[in-house]
Amino acid sequence: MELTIDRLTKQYQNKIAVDRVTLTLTNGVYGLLGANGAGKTTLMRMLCGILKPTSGEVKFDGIDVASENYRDVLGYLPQDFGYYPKFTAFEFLCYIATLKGLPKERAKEKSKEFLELVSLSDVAQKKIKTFSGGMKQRLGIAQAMLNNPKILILDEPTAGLDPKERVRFRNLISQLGEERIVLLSTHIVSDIENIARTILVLKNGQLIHNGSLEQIIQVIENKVWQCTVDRKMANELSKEYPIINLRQEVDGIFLRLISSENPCKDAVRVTATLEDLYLYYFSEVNKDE
Amino acid sequence: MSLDIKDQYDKIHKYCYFKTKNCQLAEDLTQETFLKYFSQTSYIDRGKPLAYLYTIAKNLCIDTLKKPKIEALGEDTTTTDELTSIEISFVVRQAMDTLPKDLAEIVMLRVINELSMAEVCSITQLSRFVVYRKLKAALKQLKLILREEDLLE
Amino acid sequence: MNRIKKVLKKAYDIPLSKEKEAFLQRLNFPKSSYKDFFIYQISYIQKRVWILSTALIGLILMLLHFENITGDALKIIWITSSVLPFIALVAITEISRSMSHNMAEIEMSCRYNLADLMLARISILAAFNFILSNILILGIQGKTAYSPIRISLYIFVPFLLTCLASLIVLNYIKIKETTYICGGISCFISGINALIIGSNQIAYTDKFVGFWVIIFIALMVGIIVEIIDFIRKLEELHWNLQLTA
Repeated sequence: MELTIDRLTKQYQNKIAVDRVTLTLTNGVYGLLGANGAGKTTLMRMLCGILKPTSGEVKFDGIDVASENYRDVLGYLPQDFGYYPKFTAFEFLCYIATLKGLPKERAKEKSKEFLELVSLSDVAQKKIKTFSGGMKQRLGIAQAMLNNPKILILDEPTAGLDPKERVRFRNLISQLGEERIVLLSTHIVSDIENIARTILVLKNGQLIHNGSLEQIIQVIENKVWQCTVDRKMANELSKEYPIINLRQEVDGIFLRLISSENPCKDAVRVTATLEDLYLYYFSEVNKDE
Repeated sequence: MSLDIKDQYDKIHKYCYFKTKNCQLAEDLTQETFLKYFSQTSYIDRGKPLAYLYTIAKNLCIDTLKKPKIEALGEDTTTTDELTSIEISFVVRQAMDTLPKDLAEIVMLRVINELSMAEVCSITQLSRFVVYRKLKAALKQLKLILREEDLLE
Repeated sequence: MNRIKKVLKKAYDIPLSKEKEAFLQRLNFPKSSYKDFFIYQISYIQKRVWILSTALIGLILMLLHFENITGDALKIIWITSSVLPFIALVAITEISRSMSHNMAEIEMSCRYNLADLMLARISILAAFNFILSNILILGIQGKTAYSPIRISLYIFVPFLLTCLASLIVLNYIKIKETTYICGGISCFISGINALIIGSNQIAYTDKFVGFWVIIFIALMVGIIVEIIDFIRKLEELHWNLQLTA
């Protein structure tokens, strides 16, 4: 079971959204991390065959992304999806199941089964429009799972979930990832820190990191410093070093920054986290927004 | 598939057990039945899916029993006065085995697995009338045997 | 009798191994054929499509009945051809449902993708409208001096024009609100049609029949071309590109 992505590129008129991404995915959960605009959605859409790449190819065990057989093993949760207004949760799932090629009775069975899995059984006959964001998101995961996919692609699946639902969602994903390829994108670091076996970092359409949490954190290992300094010093430091965090405190300005050696005499070295890495890479992008 | 698959799995298993008298073998045959069933797409969702499922199971059981020696489970008769439910079940199964094969089969399908009359007819290739008559005769015989065994008041 | 049945059932309650769940999980279920898929989709056409379309045809037939218009061909054409564009609108809203309700992306990622789905939807609606048209023609037949074919020509041109214009909108304007545009088109064509009949009755004389035939054929060809284009474009996502982050 292997999903191979070979020099996948998507170019819009004047902008390269995804730039020669090459990857091989096997069983397990992959977390795709990137700022808004990094190309996550474009990449995922190409992996789902709903966006044609400018060049490069995507294959699952030799099956091309554009074929019916590929879609047969694919489950996809788009970042934003709608539903026909009159649908109840159960009807929605049955409908998607028929699109996934399940015979009608089987569709009903599976719909029930997955409503159970995402704990929506008691609202199965309620209209989707009465659902909260989290419920809708869980329904989205259920629809992606209907055909028992070998490739599960979830675009920002934790958007709109409250903390309790996040925990539940994480457990669900770890469980699902045991026997399939799960790729989920997020811009919330803590969502994937604990469940993704491999973390992929996408920046400006390019894959800049691909490895386990420990591996990719190595880039900034021993380079994260904290200090509290006066305003003048803070200005100087922020010109010189990438700043991860900056906040006003009673006795000065608190800084968390990246530097290979001690930036000032008061600074202490702290353990690097994925959050640091993320901010290190995407702080510029964030400033732009 | 017109009914819950898990449910059907149990029923086919019972049916295979009835045919082979071996629990493990019955389970193997059940799985083989489903694999065979699902490799024949055209039958799904149309026609008589249940009847087809049983026909596959039946043929598999017959083929297996033809092969040299599959041992039936060595079930011991008990001597205690008080019959436990396991023992009752055992006696009932023995009673079933004393029935002519075609009668026992109808009891299996219609009574134990609760198939519809139409489905039973389709599996056994008998008319509704014949099935009805045989079923009645079978139950009558069973009652007689079991009454002798003091299992029915 | 019930007791013996109970005893019998119990006798074959044999324990199952743990293999069952795992086996059923692994079991590869056959997928439904396109034909099955097509039949399922009939039940997913919204009820209001059947009801509204039938009601509109009913309305036409009722008006024709009560207005006592036997012989007044222009009035018949006026009534029917003003209402028909709205039947086209009903069909078009159903077709554009995936886009207007933002379901296209999920639908595209399924085994039977959006193109397959649309092919099914369009075929179902076309067949339904064809049946309704025949009922309508049967209802009008004999009420005028014109032959059924000539009447059809006059009343279906505005209908087809609505279809074509709406398809072009769906093909070239990739926003969710296409339904409103199509609604506008239907009203516009219906209105224009009424105006033409009111002011320029010469268009319906024998002299112009050939002209109508040409328009009719051109519209048919146009619709087929646009449908092919429409379905071909569904292979790839064109909507809400603001999300291509």
